Formats: sequence, structure tokens, C-alpha cells
Amino acid sequence: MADDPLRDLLSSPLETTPRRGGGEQHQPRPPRGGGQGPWLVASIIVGALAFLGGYVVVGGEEAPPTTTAASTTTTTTMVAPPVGLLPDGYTALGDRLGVKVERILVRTDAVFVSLSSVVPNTLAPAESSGFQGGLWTLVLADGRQIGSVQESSDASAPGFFSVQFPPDGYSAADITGIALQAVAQRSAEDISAEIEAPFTIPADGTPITATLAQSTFFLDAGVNLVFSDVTLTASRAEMSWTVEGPDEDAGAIVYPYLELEMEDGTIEAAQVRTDDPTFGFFFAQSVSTRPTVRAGSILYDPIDPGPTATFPTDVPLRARFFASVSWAVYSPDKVMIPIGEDVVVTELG
Amino acid sequence: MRVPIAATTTGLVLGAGLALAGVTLAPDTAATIDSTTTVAASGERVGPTWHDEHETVVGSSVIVLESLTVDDAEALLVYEVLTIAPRAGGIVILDETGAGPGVGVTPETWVIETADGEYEASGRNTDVHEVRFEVDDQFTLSDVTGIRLTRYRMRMPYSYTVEVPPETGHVITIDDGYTISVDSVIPQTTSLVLHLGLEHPHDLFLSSDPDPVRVTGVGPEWLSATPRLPSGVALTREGPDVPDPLLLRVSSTYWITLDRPIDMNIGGLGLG
Repeated sequence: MADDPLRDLLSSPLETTPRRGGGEQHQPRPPRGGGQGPWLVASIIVGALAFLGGYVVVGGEEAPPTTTAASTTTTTTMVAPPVGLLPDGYTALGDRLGVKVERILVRTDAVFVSLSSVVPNTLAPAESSGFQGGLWTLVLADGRQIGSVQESSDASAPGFFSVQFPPDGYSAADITGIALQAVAQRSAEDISAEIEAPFTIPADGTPITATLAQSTFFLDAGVNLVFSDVTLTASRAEMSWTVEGPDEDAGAIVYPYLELEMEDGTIEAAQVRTDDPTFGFFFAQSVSTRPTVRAGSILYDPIDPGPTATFPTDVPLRARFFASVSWAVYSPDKVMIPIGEDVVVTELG
Repeated sequence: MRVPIAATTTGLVLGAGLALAGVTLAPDTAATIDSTTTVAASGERVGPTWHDEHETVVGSSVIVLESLTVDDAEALLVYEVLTIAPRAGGIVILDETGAGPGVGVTPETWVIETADGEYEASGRNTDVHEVRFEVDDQFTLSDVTGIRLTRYRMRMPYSYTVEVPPETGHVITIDDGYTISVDSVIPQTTSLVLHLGLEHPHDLFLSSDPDPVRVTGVGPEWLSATPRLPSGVALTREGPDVPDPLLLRVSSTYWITLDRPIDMNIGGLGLG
């Protein structure tokens, strides 16, 4: 996480908000030993203050006016992102991404603000802009700020993304801007766990419960992924997961897999169904990015074809659980993106 | 409290010395502020460039005018649309030629400006990057004073959940011209079948695009989604229960029309 490029890109030298994991450097160091060190340091400070006080009283006010070489001295040092070189209407997010509000769609059940994004043409194709999404607020003329629900992006609309907000009696004319409040840092990891002990699934449909040997996985500071026990019947296995911890903005996407093994080593794989089916995949040009969530449920079916397929019953089984997990945490930031005069507005209902 | 005299005396001397050194060596503050600038001394551009000369930024793309020719009272403008978007996330389905969905911007209507008037024309569809203008017999390239894009489309991604009552005939409007209708709700012995109609504007300019809206159920109980002709989807859910409301996920990347003029950079055309 520490090498996330966006953390540096979107940081401001004026920003005082401590970043995730960065607070400790401001903590006072613990005292080390006794001795004369503190007296030496204190006296150095006192001596310096005494000299400077005398300098100001005696000579500082009578020092000749400062003359500068401002008109002839210039430097090529950049002190700010090259905002002036952005295309017209774009706001810089760091030095390698510009964004612009293109459209506002107001519906009775949701409000969407769609933006386009651009990168410098010096950016090599293999490089990323570093932007991985964020948390946003809608800024209204009356001072209200509405927090975002989720973002949408899709590989078939490269460079565009939409931010969804809840409706709250406002119209497009009330919206003065959209503010990025925090930037996402996304990570992924494969995890696995054994079921604690061998078990037997009754053929009569009676459910049994199996426990993972490890059910809690640390994802990030303040973010734990916790899996429930697995409930199995002859025709179905079920489990659920939650993201727990003090970081309430964090969320995850879980791609699970369950494998049953009989005593002779035969593997019985299970077909997985989750909350957000991707079967739309088969008749689309692309698959939309999925939002991270705080909880999910999982169903496993016997993978054998046929309506009466079952897991092996009345025989000892072991089980292994695997999951590819991706998650997002957020670092505070602040960038205001105005609503330009050329924004297209559609209001329904 | 005991004060170590030796350390204190040494410290006072050291502190005064450091302060003196600071006052002597420190650069003039005002001069420093005034001389700090974001402009290079030579006036040359510094930092990254976001697009090249002769490129006109439209959304997450640039349009490059490649040629303008005249033949038999017809002017032919050929252009290219290049993406300047960051790398896309998600999954793209390539077609049989290995091509993906392409850039998310497509020009539609254009105007050639001359001192004597304007000529309007429209492109044929999203795949053709040329536009033909009917012009006067006297028209020459040297007459051209500007080229303006007056209408273009952008693909904008929307992905969200909607709550739909399980009532046959219920219609929700998801965007201007785009609706989802509940055509039928069929509870069966072990499953529920839901037929949805997906209406979208019929637009010849976009005719080469596939069905632009996808709908799936939210929850692992949903088993499958099958396209229905002429435009719709059949969703199957495990069990005979009919949830009220139905929780559906809608994903789309249809083209949004933008009627806002953009003056194109014509410097690369080499017009007389």
C-alpha cells in the first residue's frame, strides 16, 4: 500500500490531514536516559532566542528595505502540477490525470454525475494514471453536501466514469460542483482455509455446519474479512462474509471457491453463485467494474449436471475454501471539480 | 532542581552562534518568493503535455483532422479519433477480428465555415471516420476559415441497482428514451421466470451497436439471464417465491448525445 502512486499524486504540500499510516512520525519520541541532554538542548534554544530577540530590537527594524531580483531572476522549478497545460475545462487530480464533468442525470431514485478523464500523452501505455476511484460529495448551492453511493466504470467506455448520489429534493441547477473526498487504494490477495475437521453430509437433507480453521483475514489497517461457518446439505452449501473493523468506508469483492475431497482423494468441486452474477457477460461487449461492498452471501451447488445432483453423502469428507479477494480502502483528499456551463443535463420524472 | 552549569553555558553560546549563522546565511525571503515561478525562464513549456498540436480534445479522446479534399462539389473530411484516456479497468470482450469496443467518443455532425457561409454534414455511423459535405462549385479549400463539430456522442458507464415491483406492465425509465418494463412474472414450481423488455432509442447512427443495457438479478438465487428478441432479457430465479420488490442490477454504456459546438484545430490540414 505504501507505494501507491496516487497517494503522492494527490497530496498537497498544504494538506494537514494525516494520511493512513503516516501519523506516527509526528508522535514525540520517548525520552532516552537522563543526563544533561535536555538542559543542553533547552539552553541552545534559549541562546538562539536571546540572540534573535536582540537582533530584531537593535538592528532588524532598521535593516535596509529588501531589494529583490524578481524581475530578472527566474527558475525552471515547477512548484505545482502543470494545471495550465491541461485541456480546457479539466481539473487536475495530481500531475497525470485531468477530469471534467460531462453530464448530470437526475432521476427520482438516483442522481448520476458523469466525468471524462484524460492523461498526458507522454504517459507510456504501460503506465497507469494511478486513479483507482474515490469517495465523492455533491456540493449544492445551499451548502449541503451529499455523499456518493458508488462509482461506475466500464472498459467499453474508456476514460469515462459515473458517480451515483442519492436523490434528496435537489435539481441539477442546485449542483455547484463535485468534490473528491478520498481516493481509493485497491489491493487483491488470494486466501485459503481448510475446514477444521472431516465431516459427513447426511443423505436425508439434514444440514450440518462446518467451521473454517481460519475465518478472519486481515486485509488492511482497520479492515478484516470475516467468513461464517459453512452450512452444507446434500444439494447445497451456503456461507456469508462481512467486512469488519473501524474503517467503515472499506469494502471488498470476494470470488469464492469450495472444494470437497473424499478419502480416496477424489475432488468434488462446487459451482459458485454470489450476490452479483456476471452472466450478463455473455451478451455484452464488456463487464462493468463491480463496486466493493461490506457483506455478501455465497451459494455452492454440486457441479454435476442434472436436477438431482448432490454432494457425496454419508462418506467422510474434507474441504478447502479458496477466495480471490480484492478490496478498497480510502485516503482522505480534497479536490473540487466545478460544473462547467457546457455540462449536459437530463432530468427525468 | 539542579541545573548543570557547564551544559547550560555551552548551550547558550551554541544557540546564539547558530542564530547568528542563520541570520547571516539565510537567503532573502522576499526575493525567494518573488523568484519562484511556474514558468520556465526560456518560456518553453514545462511538465507533461496533454495533447499534441492540431489535436482537439473531446471527452477522453482527441480528434485529429487528417485531410480535407474537394472533388465535384463534394468536400471530404477524414479524421481520426484517438483515446487519451487512462488505461481501462474491467473486462473487454474482443470481437472476431480482435478489436475491442474502441474509444468512447464519436463525432456526428460537422460544419465547414467559410467567409461566405457554412456547410453542414453528418457522419454515417460510429464506425466511419469521414464525412462528406455538399459544397458550391466555386468552393475551394482556401475558402475554409474553420471547422466545427456540432454534435457528438460519448459512451458513459452506468451501473446501479433498481427496485422494481413484480407487476406485469410496470415500466421504469432509466434514462431519456431508455426503459425497463416488466413483461411477465411467471412463478413456477421450483423457479421464477421474469421477462423484462428493454427499450432504447432507435438511431441509425448507432445501429452497429449491440444491445446497450444489461440487467441481472442481485443475489445468488438468480440462476441465469437469456436475451429475448427483439430487445429484452429473461431472468430465472431459484424457488417459486416472488420478491417484492425485485432487486435488479442495471449496467449500460450507451451513447449520450452532446449538442455543443467545438471548434476544431485545422492547423494540420495545410489549407491554402
